[in-house]
Amino acid sequence: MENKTIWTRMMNIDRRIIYVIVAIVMILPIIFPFNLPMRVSKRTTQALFDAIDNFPSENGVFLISADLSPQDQPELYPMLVSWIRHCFHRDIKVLVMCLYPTSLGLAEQALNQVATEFNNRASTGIGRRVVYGEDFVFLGYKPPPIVPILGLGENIYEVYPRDFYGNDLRTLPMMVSKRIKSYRDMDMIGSIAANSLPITYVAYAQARFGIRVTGGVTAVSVADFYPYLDSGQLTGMLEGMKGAAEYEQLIVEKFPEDNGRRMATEGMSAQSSTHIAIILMILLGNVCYFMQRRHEKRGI
Amino acid sequence: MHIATDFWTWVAALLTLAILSFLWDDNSFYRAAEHLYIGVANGYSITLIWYNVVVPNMIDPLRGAAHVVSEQGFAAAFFTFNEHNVLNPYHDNNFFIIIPMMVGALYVTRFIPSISWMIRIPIGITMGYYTAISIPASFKASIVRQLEASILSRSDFDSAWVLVYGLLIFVTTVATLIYFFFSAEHKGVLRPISNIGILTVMVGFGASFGLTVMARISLAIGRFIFIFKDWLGMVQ
Amino acid sequence: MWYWFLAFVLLVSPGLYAQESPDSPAPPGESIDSEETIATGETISSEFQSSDMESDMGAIPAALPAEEIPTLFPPQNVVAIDVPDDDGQAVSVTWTPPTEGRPTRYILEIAGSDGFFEELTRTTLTEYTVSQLENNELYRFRVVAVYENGQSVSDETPPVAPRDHWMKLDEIPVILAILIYISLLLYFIQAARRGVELFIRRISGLTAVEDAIGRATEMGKPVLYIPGTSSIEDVATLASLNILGEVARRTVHYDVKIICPNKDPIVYTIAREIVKETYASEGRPDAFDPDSVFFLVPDQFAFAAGVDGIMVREKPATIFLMGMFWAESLIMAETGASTGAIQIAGTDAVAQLPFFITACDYTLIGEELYAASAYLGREPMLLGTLKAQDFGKLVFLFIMIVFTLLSLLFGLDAAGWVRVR
Repeated sequence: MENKTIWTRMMNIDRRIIYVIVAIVMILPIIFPFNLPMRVSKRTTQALFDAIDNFPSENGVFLISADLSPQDQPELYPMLVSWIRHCFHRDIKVLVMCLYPTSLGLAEQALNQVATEFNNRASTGIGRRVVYGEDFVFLGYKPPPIVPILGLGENIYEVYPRDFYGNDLRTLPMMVSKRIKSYRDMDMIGSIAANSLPITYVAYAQARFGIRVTGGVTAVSVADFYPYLDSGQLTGMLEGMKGAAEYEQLIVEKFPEDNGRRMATEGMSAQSSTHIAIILMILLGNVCYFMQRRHEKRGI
Repeated sequence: MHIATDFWTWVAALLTLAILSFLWDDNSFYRAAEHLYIGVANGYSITLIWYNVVVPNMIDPLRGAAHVVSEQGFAAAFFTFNEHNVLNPYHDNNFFIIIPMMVGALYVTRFIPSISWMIRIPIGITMGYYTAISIPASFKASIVRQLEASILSRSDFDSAWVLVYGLLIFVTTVATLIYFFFSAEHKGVLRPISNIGILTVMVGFGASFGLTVMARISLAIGRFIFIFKDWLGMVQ
Repeated sequence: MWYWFLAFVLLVSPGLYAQESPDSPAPPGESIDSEETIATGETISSEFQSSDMESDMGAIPAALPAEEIPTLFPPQNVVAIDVPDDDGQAVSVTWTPPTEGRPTRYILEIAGSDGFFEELTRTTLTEYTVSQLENNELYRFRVVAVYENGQSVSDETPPVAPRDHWMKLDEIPVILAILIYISLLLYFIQAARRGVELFIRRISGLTAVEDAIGRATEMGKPVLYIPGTSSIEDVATLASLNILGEVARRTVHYDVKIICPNKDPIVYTIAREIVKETYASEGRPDAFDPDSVFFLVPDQFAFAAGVDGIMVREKPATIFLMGMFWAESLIMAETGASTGAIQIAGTDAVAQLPFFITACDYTLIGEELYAASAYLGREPMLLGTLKAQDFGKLVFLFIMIVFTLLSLLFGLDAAGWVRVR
């Protein structure tokens, strides 16, 4: 035992100690948040914000494919909420659909949450009311994914004769007033997903029907999407919780009356402090590794 | 501090703690939560698929078609067209749904050894359909458009940053493709190029690793915000 | 544009465009302060009604005395063309901003056979694709520039009719790419079938497969095989199922138990058939355990949790993680590493490879996964496919390098030759 150097002991440190350190570094800023300046990424968040802000037609139509699930909720749910808020502020019509059953609850919750926010504000004389069927429609779930992805390029009413609540889709005021029939009558698809669905939309919906596509993705899968961002196939995108926080900031800057809960921003102090802790631990781990090797060589 | 009074918030918080307890060691709370999760996920999926897939796509059309037959005769239920005079498979009342239903039911033949070979029919149809639909889409989105984006042009030389960026992508694309070229040993001139290739791949992995750490932290933060804000009410 | 020659030969229905696209496309819209363009609280329907009336009455308020009428400039170069190579019903309208002044928005108006213009949409951009028109009906368009103190109407476009085209001509590079690839594929598969020796370099991770299964034999513990968490249409899943066949063959040979949990019901069915057939083809159909290949759960993290449980409880000697993975990769690979198993991973999911590289003993990176399935099997179909992929990469590299040289040396728009919309 006496042969063990501090470096060896550090290399074999109980992983639970690291968990405790990370937990402390993460929890403290949640309870005592601090504000760090945030730089909004131009190629991703800003590009997407500008694109939604400048839809080809005023009061355009944004189709959101909300494919998030409870396990990626902290990253993706704030994105969905922010997109809906932005659309309601700009009087853009929102269509929401789900390609996976686990997304239904969260998608419906996000729509109701933002609609309640807007209607509560409107009752105090700020902003406008939003109404189901006039400002947003929830299409629900239709498997397998390829059926709605391709079907909406032809005729939305054949894929979704009824909305999630069982209303005849053709009779909803928004579908009539905006003459929504296929991708041609929509301005953009936003795919919120923890997997490669945004690329599926690029490959099937964009390649065949020419509609613009953007993505709200988890940080894990961001690297997969950069080539599509560079080639212009994706119109901006949101990268994980940081992207969502940037978008929340852009919305508050542009629409100061927005007083909704900024869920991604709430986590950013903890994110920064944990990143610093992890960088330090990676450095320390490497120092220990090299020092241990040096000692072993000397020992021989 | 305003501790939540909602029952389900308590259930969610206690289950979160049970799952997090795995970080310390495997224990019965974790196992209970794990089994509950798998059970709930399966049960939820089955219920949703029944009400969102089986009922609207199979039972409703058949019921509707039976109704049409009783009122308008047999042909009316078979030949429903959309506005382009194309047979409409999504129509509310349609007996044609029986054909895909029967093909899908062949999956069940797996349980009858003498005719279990018939499972190849739906598998063959599924694979054929997806292959055909994905080849043109993948070629266009992931090969031809990417090829176009990686060809340098004179306009790339207008700005120093664009040039550096373009050159970097060009060189690393070539090197990585060479690394993944399996028809030749990596000897001679191919060796240094493929080394650049694997180096590029590793740099990519480094970036990817950083992004994933960020994502995992985000997920943990989401849970902690839930515990300290929504459950314990320690954060305003 | 070399492929246009082919396109020209194929062309049978000449598009009778009412007006050809101008040589230079319309410049992007002026940056308009979008604050000004926010609807002012009017309801949508009343907005439409009022604008209809305005546009039908004419643009400039007639009541103002001549000297007070401000000079408001109309949008320029309004061009409407049938959207080329589409399935009809659409016309693309572009225009350029007025020579002077900054409109807050534009109103695009359309006139059908009755000759009356009506509002179609409002936009701040200088292009719009109009959809849901009748094929072969004539339509005219004009654009109204809306200023804070009035409006100004552009000239009308000549009549244009949307048409149904039989083929997307701009996608000829895609068709050529597919044809080239399929030709390579057929050629190499035939060559492999004829017994031509096709060289494939050895992939280091593969040597480990045999050793790892040997280790499981010595320890008397099972082999755990995860065929990814994606569906059957994923190429990685198909490659993984090929490797599963080879791994199963070796487990039959060494008489080792194999455990194969699945996330996708279709993949499960095929994986089960593969393992079962391998046992049969190796002459041991009785040794196949029907419970060894099973469906676990379709949810991503529930699946990871279930697999983790199997790893901890069964303590397999060797774990294969082959196929497509997402965020669950590290959860499974780390748990596997903590049980002390030898882990061999392979995936084409770029985002997940770092975790496999750090947590597993051997990792097949990206296409090495496909190569491994061909190398292990030596099956003509796979070998031919791998060779075709290799030569496909050569074609890609050739076009990329030669077109870049042409573009840089001669200033040609080489990227445009492979451009698809």
